[in-house]
Amino acid sequence: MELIAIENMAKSFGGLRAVDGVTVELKERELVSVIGPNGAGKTTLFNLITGFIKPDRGKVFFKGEDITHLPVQKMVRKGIARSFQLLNVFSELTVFENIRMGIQAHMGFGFQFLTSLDSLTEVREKVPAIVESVGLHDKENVRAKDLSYGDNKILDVAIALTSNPEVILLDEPTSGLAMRETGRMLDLIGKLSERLTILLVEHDMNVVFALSKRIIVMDQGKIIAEGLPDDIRKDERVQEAYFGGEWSC
Amino acid sequence: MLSHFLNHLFNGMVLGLLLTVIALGFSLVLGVMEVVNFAHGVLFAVGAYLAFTLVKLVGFWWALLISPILVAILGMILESGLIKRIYSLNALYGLLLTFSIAMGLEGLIKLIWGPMGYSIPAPPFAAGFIDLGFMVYSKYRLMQGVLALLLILALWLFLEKTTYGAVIKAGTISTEMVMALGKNLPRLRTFVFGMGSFLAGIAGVLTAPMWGIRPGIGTEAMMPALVVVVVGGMGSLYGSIIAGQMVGIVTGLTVMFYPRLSDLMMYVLMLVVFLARPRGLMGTKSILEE
Amino acid sequence: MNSFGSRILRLGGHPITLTLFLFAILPLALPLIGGHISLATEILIMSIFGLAFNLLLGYTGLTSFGHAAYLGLGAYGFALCELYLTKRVWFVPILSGILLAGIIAFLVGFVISKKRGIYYSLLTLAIGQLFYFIAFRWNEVTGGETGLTGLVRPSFRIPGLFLLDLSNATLFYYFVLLTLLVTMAILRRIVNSPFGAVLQIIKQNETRARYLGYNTFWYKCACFTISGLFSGLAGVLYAMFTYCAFADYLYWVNSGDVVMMTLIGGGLTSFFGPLAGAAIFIVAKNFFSSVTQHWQIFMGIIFVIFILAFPEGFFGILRKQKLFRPKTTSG
Repeated sequence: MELIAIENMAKSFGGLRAVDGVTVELKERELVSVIGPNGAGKTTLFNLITGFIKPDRGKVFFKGEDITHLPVQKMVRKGIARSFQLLNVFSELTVFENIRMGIQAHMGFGFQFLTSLDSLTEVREKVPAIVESVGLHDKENVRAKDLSYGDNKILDVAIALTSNPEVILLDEPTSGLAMRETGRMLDLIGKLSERLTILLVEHDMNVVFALSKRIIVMDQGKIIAEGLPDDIRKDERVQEAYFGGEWSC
Repeated sequence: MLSHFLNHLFNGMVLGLLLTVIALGFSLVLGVMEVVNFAHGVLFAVGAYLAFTLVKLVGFWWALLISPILVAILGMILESGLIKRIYSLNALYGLLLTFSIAMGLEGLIKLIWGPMGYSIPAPPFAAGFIDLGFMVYSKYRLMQGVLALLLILALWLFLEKTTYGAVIKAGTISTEMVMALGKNLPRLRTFVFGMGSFLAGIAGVLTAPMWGIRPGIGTEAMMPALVVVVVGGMGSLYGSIIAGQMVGIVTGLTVMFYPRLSDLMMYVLMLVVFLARPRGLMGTKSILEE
Repeated sequence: MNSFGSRILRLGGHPITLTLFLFAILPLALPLIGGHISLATEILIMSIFGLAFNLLLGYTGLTSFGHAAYLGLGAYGFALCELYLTKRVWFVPILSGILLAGIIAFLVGFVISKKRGIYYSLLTLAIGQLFYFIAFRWNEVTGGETGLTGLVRPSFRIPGLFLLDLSNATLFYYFVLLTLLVTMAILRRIVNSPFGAVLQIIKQNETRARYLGYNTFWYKCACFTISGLFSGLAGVLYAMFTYCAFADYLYWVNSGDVVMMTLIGGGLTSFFGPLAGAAIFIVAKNFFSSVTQHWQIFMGIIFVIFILAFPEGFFGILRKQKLFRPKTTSG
């Protein structure tokens, strides 16, 4: 049974067809990677799926329900979360506070005007679990802007986990990371893939081939290939799109 | 009755053209430098006051030419001395800086010319009325309309047909583009500010016989500029022309039917357009939305 | 010394306590230096306005450039109630002013909260002007150019004791001071609440806030409404202060002034910024306008200097000199 299905999604900006008839299906606990050259439409696809922009055509189904036109915050409540390609955390807040804001949202405590934030123990006590699950417990009280880039990328994923999602879309989680930090992220994603459905956009082929059950290749807004990692490795169209020739990894 | 109506309509159209000129100067600066130039109105006022003084010395046509040039020079001094320092900061600072400059300049106007108002008559050759066949119309307003139209046309030619104009248009889309084209960005910005100031100044000269000359006319010119930009949308010359006409005609006709509401009709128009088309009639997604 | 005693001492030496103490004895001290208490009263009223405004600017990152409208609406709400409904039940006109401002602020907030950036500011400016012209032209209701005059300040009868008549300038000062303290307490609470925390993350990164599950539209709308309510309160006090309500209260230049005050005081980095800003602005304006008729030039120059040299404002300077704790999100 598909958990999340994207049907014939299309979006144009001006004359540019950023996403052109894309259909993707994800089963529970599948890890599917989307790869493709820059400008292939991968981030736009994420934006469309999560309701950040409205598609020209196409639908998104989650557990059979049509969620295409839901706004971002409702999408998140349904159980879809996302991390970002460019850093998108709350830089003035500490790790603890970043995650607390997510849990606060998830538990519905946002509109309380006259209670003190610190007094919400039910929110506070849920934070350490997430902080530890991503390995940031020794930096709990460090402000995000004082963290290393790698830690921030981990934090980005951690924040996405606060809404207790079933599906998580990770947009280039290892971009800009050094080798050791990439390993950390790999471990984290691997752990997550045991209980979550993951749609991953990546440029690092090592990560893609290590983690993915299935790979989708996009180019110029369309899917040009889809299948098991080994098949994709050998696919000529993919080699053409990426390198005009052969894989170099 | 019909000629009465036509008179108001034409007044509205002429007003609209003048508002477009004011708005274009404002919108160029907003587009290229992303600064909401609150001093635009006071530069308009300076243009009017300078014309008032110059008319007595060199006559109308020279005043029409020299006054905006002087305003442009003033604008460029302000830009290169003060305004350029806040480009890298949050838009709020540019807004407040130009607001403060406007306050200071308005005080300066009162210092030099006194706090009272003046009236400046239409130049003798344009005084009185002209028979257009279907109606009799004020010669001066006709002249205003024609001159405003010529200005808009000149601006259009400059932006569309010259290379420097193309660079400026690129600048309204992104500053990276301008640098990639190898052009000197600071000088471009100073020039654009000068151009915007020139437009404000010349609009001030043209409207002076109509609106009178008071220190407060600066702020009165500021508001329509903003409304035209919001109604017409950012990044579109045609949008500014259409919006200018809409504001002008709506105001002009309201004067005829419900004079009391004439000041506020443009804000109502703005709200209506905004609710229907949040980007303005012909606007493109712009820096205004960040 | 026991912990309670040392706590009192720390509280007493705290800059806020000192400031409050200063404000409390101001009416007694001012006449000694030839000042009039009305200047201090005006500073307090504008502080309330500034604090209300800063909820939007400093905490949520939204610049409203037409906020004087809500102060004006508060003034007119108060005035209209007094003139046409009742002036005997003291809190009814006050409540009317606050509610009028708050309801309109809600409606406006509802319309504009989907936008942001410069567009947002330009819209608030135009809407503010719309209300200005309504006040200026609707002669039958608002008195048009002449405005509404002949207002009275409420008086409270303490049963069996005495009558507190706020027409007494000193009593009115303390009344306003009390209102300011209550306002500060409430706003401080709001800012440190879960709601306030959401506002602050909206300022930092609205997209991410939405991706956490917050419907940021309603937060911005609520913020605008709360800001409107307290701006209306400031307007009510201002109408009491001047005994009238004029269309000029809503004019956009006054909106610009409050933005300036907030920035100069350091509202972007400190809860108390608007207080400093109001003090600096009003004292400067008062000083210059009493010395020269060309005060605008001097004010303009001072503001330009502040913006270029001290963009972080008064409290920002203090913070740099480590004289003050910076604002943190959790208190």
